[in-house]
Amino acid sequence: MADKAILFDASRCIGCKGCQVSCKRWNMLPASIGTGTWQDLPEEQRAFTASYQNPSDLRADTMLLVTFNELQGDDGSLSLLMGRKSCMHCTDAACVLACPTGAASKQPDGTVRIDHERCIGCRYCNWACPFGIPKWDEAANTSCMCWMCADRTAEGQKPACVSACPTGALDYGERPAMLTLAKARISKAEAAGRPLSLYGEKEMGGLHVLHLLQAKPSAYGLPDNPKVPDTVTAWQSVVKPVGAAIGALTFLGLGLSYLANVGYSKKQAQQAVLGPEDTGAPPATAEEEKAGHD
Amino acid sequence: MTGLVYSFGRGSMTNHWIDIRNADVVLANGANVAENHPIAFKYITEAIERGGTLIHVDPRFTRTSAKAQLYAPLRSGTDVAFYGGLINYILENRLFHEEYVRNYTNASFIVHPDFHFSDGYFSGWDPLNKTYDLTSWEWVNEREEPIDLDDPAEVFRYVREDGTPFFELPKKKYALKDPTLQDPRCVFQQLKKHYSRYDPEMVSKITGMPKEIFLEVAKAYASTGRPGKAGTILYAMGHTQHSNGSQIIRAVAITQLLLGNIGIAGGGVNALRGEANVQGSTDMALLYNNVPGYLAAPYAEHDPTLAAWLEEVIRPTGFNQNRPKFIVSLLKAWWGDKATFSNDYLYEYLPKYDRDRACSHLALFDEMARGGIKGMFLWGQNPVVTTPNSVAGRKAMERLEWLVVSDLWETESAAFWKAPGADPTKISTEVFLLPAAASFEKEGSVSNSGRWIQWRWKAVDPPGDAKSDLWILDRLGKALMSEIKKGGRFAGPILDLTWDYSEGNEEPDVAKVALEINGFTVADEKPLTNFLGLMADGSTACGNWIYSGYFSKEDKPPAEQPTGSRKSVDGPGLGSYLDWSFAWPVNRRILYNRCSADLEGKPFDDEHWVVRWDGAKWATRDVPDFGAKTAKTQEPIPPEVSGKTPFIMLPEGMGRLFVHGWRLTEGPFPEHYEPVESPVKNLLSSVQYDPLAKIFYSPTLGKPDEFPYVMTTIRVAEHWQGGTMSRNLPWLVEAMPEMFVELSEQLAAEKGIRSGDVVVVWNKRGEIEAKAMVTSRLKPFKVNGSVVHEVAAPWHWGFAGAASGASINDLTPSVGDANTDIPEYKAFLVNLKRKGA
Ligand code: SF4
Ligand code: SF4
Repeated sequence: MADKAILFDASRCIGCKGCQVSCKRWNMLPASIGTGTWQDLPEEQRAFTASYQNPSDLRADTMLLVTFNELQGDDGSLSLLMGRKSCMHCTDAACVLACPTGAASKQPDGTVRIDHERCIGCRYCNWACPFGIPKWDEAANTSCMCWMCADRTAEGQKPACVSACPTGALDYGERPAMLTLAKARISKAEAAGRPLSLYGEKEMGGLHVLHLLQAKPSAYGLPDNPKVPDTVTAWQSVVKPVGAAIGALTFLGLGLSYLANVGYSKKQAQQAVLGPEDTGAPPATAEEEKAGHD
Repeated sequence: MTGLVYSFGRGSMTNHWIDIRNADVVLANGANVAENHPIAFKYITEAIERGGTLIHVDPRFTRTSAKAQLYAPLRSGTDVAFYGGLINYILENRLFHEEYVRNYTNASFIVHPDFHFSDGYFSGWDPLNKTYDLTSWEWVNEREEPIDLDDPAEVFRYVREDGTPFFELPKKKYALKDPTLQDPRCVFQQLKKHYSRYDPEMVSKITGMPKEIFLEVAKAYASTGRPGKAGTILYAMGHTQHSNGSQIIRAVAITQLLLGNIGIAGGGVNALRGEANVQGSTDMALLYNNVPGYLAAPYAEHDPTLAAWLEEVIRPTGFNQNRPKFIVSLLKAWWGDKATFSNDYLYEYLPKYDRDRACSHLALFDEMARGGIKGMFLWGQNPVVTTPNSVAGRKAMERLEWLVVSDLWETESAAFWKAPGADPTKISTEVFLLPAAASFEKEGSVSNSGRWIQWRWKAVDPPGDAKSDLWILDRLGKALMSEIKKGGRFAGPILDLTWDYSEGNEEPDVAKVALEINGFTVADEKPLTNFLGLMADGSTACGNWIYSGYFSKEDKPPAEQPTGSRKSVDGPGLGSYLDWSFAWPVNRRILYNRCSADLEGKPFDDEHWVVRWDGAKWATRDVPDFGAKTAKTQEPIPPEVSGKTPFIMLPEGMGRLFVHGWRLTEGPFPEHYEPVESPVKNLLSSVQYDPLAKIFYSPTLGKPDEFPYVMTTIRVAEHWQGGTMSRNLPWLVEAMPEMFVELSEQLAAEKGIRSGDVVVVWNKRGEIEAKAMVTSRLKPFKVNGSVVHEVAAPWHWGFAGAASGASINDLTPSVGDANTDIPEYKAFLVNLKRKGA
């Protein structure tokens, strides 16, 4: 089966959140207020985002988030970049590498899926993902993320988000075709003096959610050079084979002790793999990460 | 809409959504398309990707600005100054489409010698009575001629048919012109003179738009004056909701006429309507001063008889010669066999309105406050949230004896008696809440901004006891009939109505309603093909002449009617999609399309041509908006004929740079006035605000020393109008949960406010609390050397629903547009502070 991909063209996105809501609707994900009212929610769940971005980040019940990135140039020029945050379905997926039980796995169409039956809620994928995608559902004790609407695509339909987009900012098809489409858009835009760049052709071995961007990835809150954290790579080669042999529960402790063993304090271990929004720290550059190892 | 009807002849969007993709430059002004018309943005995106430019003029940098190649900030309420500047720039730099202006507009008409303008007033101002004497707001006629009914080409020959009501025929008038456009008294020179005061410095000083940015915008937009280029202007509530809203639209119309942008593909003045079917609602005369099909409603004082009304609405030349046909057919549709020639087609049954007691929203609530209104029906409307000065609005509603709300949820309006601050023990209004069916739960047509009348089928049954609006109305009609039978004054208008849409308690037959709207011949009830078949002799009935043709196939179900047509093939290749639904009038997609070609019928734009004379006949990619063939023999009519009067709905046939007579109350040319509440003095004249603005509750107006900040109301993509439809949907609540006030970083710093703080915003009309959203997307304006801060708040929240919050309309003023009474929601004054500060 040929690899499939979504193409998100940020130059066409108007931030309407049609995709965000459509994802929740199709995947039957409840809103934070459930059947109650916003005012009834506990205060901490009502934190004001001070932005059109709502909720503030992905959650177990929100697998796609439209991001709003307000930037002001030194000359006072303004831009409001609307981006997409959802599983990138990497070829070299950190979550798959980190997952001790095989719950996170690659699918024949190149996408990544978390099997909730096999997920033990260890959250390693949450920490491993350089994009900060998988989120833990405390009640169900499982990690959650976009599964590229496998139920729809199996029936020959486009993912729910793609079908909902009013402006044609989302396309879905075979990955090579999406790459061709993306490159055609780039040449056309460049001819008009409106540069676009492609994100995801090579990153993480090739993403299955390709982005056309009008500014550098970090302006959209995306890592400029995403990579599988070294800890995960090390983990994969040393501990995981052992872990697969012993039970999953022991494994959690083992994993953290492994990191401690190779010279990390628990806090450092977490920081090395946590996404920036979880630590509140700016995203680590490759250099910084290296420095951490030395 | 009013601004358009008097400029071009019809009060609607001239082009249509898909056609936006044909534009070279899209100017969105007073419209936040990305947030409020996201589907339309697809076509703007296409225009941009074809190399086009999107210019966004708006006080705030929004999701639309984010997509624009050029963003220009403008202080709310200064749009006429902006367009005045643009008009001046176009004229000064001779960037107008000369051939078009000369041949298709009234630029050459000679204006009345007494017409003049000085210090904010046009000639004829009577300061005592605050009215204008309109004598000089006219052009000079070279000659007048009586109508010659012996001329075989004379349209008015229909008056000879038996059964046609009597009315006096008007005289044909021919304007005195100077084709060289040099005469100082011609419209062109008058226009030039009027707008010469709007130079770029002045525009910048008034609007707060930096001069360089203004010039960049002007240059980009004026480039569409070159023949073959197309510019479209998209506007929405940001233009209409001002005390001079109609004049803002007029200024848009003048700009577009000068650039030759009307009647062409990718051009036009495109009013983006605020709701899915608001076009349909105005088409059907949910406006107090119309009857269906945009015919001026009769008013008691002037139109005591049918003849008087007909004489008022007919025009000596142009398509409105036919209005008596539409009116008689309308009366026949409503009162059927009872309406005859001998009883003036029951004209006496038609309600007449009093000019000095307008029935606009503002006027009705004013009257309600004084106890003059007993009961109110609200259909899918939530005025407790959306009425201006809504604190007073809620108080007014307390005086109602009864209130019926038909909606999907218990709206704030249905619950007004338990609003914060209300005392239910003192309110005796009886409230009925009727559960209504949602759009997917009923069948009927919906008309979009592009005038497409699209049939929609029912997807699911409504839940529980919920009923379609049609069912509710039908039942109401029947109940009124049986009630008035028991005795009541003037029962005829109700008892004699044709009302045969249902049997028993069934869902009414919506196709029957559609057929009545489409029109039919009385003798055999056969549907009419279009309005050309209408007669004034009582032989045809038609509920709305402009819709004629949308349901024209005899005994066919909706799917086989033009309105139900869903063929997505773009035969002619212009984006017309003529087989997708039905656009009024007569399935025409681009209005005034004769103007897309020159006098000889050669298109100005070879790529996006609409109609073309090939030497022997017309080639068309849309339904021609002019006589292309004779009705009887189908002979082609050569271009010279239609080129003389390309605006067929106007008696003189020319696009109006100068609007004459009573049509717009403040004058023939738009003039800049400040909003009624403004922080600054009008720099252009000593007349501070629109001298004819409609002002209610004047003691609640505030001054800048007390209320220094400009507030504008806004909408967001996640919510819908008064919020009923979106604040009750959990996913949308989550997508935008809370009421907020946007303010600039500078004002926030001055006031010690941080994002997320609760701010108190107040003026004399009310006080609200909301979260502060401090953003760089809003910047202070430099207005005539001093800083003016503008803040913005969405108007979707109210005290009920799954997400409640303060209503900004507690603070908006009861001030209405001088022509239409649309409230000035977009610019008013407030003060604000951090809560507890
Ligand atoms: S592909 Fe499906 S699951 Fe993934 S973001 Fe889109 S709608 Fe949500
Ligand atoms: S639906 Fe399309 S335009 Fe709207 S936010 Fe999603 S990607 Fe952007």
